[in-house]
Amino acid sequence: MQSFFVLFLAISIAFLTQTTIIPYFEIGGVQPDLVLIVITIYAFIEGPVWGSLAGFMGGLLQDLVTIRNMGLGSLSKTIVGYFAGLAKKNVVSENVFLPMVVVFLTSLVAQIIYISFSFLVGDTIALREVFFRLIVPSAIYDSLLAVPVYLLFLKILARKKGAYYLEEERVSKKRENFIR
Amino acid sequence: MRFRRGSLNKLTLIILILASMLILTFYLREANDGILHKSQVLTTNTLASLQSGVSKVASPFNHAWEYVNNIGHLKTENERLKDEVVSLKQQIITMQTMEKENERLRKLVGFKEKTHYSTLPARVIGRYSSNWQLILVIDKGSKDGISKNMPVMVGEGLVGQIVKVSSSAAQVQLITDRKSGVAAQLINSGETGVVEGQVTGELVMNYIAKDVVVSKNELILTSGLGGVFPKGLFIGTVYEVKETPYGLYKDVRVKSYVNFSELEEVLIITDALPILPFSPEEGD
Repeated sequence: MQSFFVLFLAISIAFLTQTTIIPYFEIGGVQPDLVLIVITIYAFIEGPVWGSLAGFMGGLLQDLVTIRNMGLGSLSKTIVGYFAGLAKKNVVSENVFLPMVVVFLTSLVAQIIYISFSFLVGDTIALREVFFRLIVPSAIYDSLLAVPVYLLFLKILARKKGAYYLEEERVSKKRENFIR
Repeated sequence: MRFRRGSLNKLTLIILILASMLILTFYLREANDGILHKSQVLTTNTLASLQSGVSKVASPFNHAWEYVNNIGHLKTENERLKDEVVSLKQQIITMQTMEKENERLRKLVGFKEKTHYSTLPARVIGRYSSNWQLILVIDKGSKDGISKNMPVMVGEGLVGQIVKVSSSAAQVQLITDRKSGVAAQLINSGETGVVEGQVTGELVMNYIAKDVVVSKNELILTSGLGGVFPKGLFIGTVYEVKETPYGLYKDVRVKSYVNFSELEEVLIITDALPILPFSPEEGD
């Protein structure tokens, strides 16, 4: 129940920030998707079940303010939330490189899924035209923004678990060194 | 135990995917007053007051970001604007003379055309923009007399049209949105076409035949043919004309002078819609 509350709060704050402040941070026609970043990092910390739930909730919230094809956002974000959850590390560390890579990949995949399903419902977007102009730049932007979001999540969400995980990390490294 | 956890993961994924697909199917099949469409209107209304507060607080930070973002261009922009002011002053004098002459000739032939519209100012309180849609949220809704399809403008040109209305807020689809189409007219040749938004946020005027002479910087206005936008609203100017060997039409690229990413206030034209025997809310 506590996890659900944290999830709901995180997604709601991300959504409100996305619809009010984030559009002003547009660079060259590209803006980051804070909701996707939060979904990915939440999934990365909590695993595939919570990841897909976060994806569904965040996507649906964004769908509620779309003017076309409600359901596509929740569909694409549920799928990437699930796969980001599979990348869950048993040990949460402060190394930001892996979450950056995961956010980059989820951003790419979510947009490609969105375009593919849009095509199925008769809403064509030329992938070749937008891949290097929109999709890749926004995935890079998302991965950069993932760093502060991940560190914030580590402080808030993993406050209880963090000490345990970090300790586990030290133990597992020691164990690896010992085996070598 | 591991198998059970794996099954739970997959089951959750499948259920949520199916739920999303069901929502999509119902949304595409239901009418505009269906429960999912209504839930969108309700969300817009609920979020409006919250967004209004957040946008007020965030406004100074947004200005600071805009300043930082534009700092490299300021000097060249300033010089360009000075040149433009001189040129525009000349144009104003010419246009004032033409307007007087036009008015005199209209009176002479007894021709009446509406050139001034009632407008209602509104504040931009949010943006439902992503790579795939460009939507503004404004703080005026049906209780202020706003209805679907009303055109939205600023001094620099046409902004878009109202696509969703709740009681205290409305959504504006920008003309740069990939699904937007505005019936337009080239001012020199009088040729009509449709100015369409692109997924990249650019504007293209389509359906201009190859034999039509289109000059760079030619003004593009609304033609009034679509039944949504009244005739004579400024959209932008031509900045590039391309011809493809096998295409039937010219590829006319349009430059809008509206800074869509920094809009804070807009004007809604409230009396431009054609009088229909049914409410615009009913059809789509």
